[in-house]
Amino acid sequence: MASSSHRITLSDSLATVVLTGTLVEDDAAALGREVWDRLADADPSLCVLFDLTQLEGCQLLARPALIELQRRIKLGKRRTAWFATRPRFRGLALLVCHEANDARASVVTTLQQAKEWFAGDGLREDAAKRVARRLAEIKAGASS
Amino acid sequence: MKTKLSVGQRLFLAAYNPMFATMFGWHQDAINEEYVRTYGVSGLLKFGKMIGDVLAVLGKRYGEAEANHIVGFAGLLNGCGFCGVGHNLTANVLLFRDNGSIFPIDEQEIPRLQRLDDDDLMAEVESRLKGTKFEKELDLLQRMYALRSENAEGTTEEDTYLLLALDMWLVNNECTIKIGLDIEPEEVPIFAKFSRDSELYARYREARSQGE
Repeated sequence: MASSSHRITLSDSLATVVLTGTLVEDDAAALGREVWDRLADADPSLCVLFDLTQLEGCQLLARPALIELQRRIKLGKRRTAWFATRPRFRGLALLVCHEANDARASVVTTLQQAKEWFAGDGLREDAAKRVARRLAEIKAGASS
Repeated sequence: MKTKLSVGQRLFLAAYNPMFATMFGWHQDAINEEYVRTYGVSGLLKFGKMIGDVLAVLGKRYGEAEANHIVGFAGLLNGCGFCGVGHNLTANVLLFRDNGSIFPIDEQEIPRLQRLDDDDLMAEVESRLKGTKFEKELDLLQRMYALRSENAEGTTEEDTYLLLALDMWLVNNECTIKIGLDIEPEEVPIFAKFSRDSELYARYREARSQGE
């Protein structure tokens, strides 16, 4: 039987949610409720870090609760980073950010990237602007 | 996202999807639909052109096979099986078709590699490519991983190309992940005009199985 646990810690500027084990539907729903409760009275500038580095799996039925949680976080306009060191879980996190349509949520590979994401005001879709800029640089270089 | 497509968007896709398959050689109807759902028809066309431009500049610098390995690795790092498998498959078949080479990493292994921790993933990539004729690609993939994990702006002309690939696939995987997170490797097409050349693919798989 798969099981998971989570740990939530709050500081002045950051809520950190560490997920461990294999996330199943009921656990994900409980996680969503608890995170939301803890964020309800928190300062609006508080950012949220989901640490997936100890996660071992996430069942299909657990995904909707994560998406719903991210949607609720979006309403508060908080910045979110999903920190994962396995590509599989970066994919899961990207799906959650995408389905929640939260441009202030990002997927990061290191804690340093998370800090930079929280400190900035960029959006996930800014990657497209960087592509356009780099394409222009390369084309300008080719024609000079 | 659950946003419903408009009638106009559905009519557009009904015409666009078969045209896409005819022009490029493979079907990706569900991904086109997710692009339209997310960015609208104009977004699908805009990002489609952008991806084509990126593949063109990468192909000009590295050749078509290596360009596909580069963007395939970007997709792999983002957890997308559609891009991770598809572009590596395309690169591997191109290498086999053009000079008979078998790349040391089988595209069918990508889902397993995506479940590894990054350190183990990079160690496995290194162990497969080091000491082979693909050491230059190993350097590129290691540099890509460093750029991806450091949020680096890059310091060399090569970095500009690798960051271009990484950023383009951050954009692309936004939509492909919906299909690419759970797709089976056998369901992923070759992203090339010869996608339907089943005889070429069979010869490639046969050569790979004999080499292992």
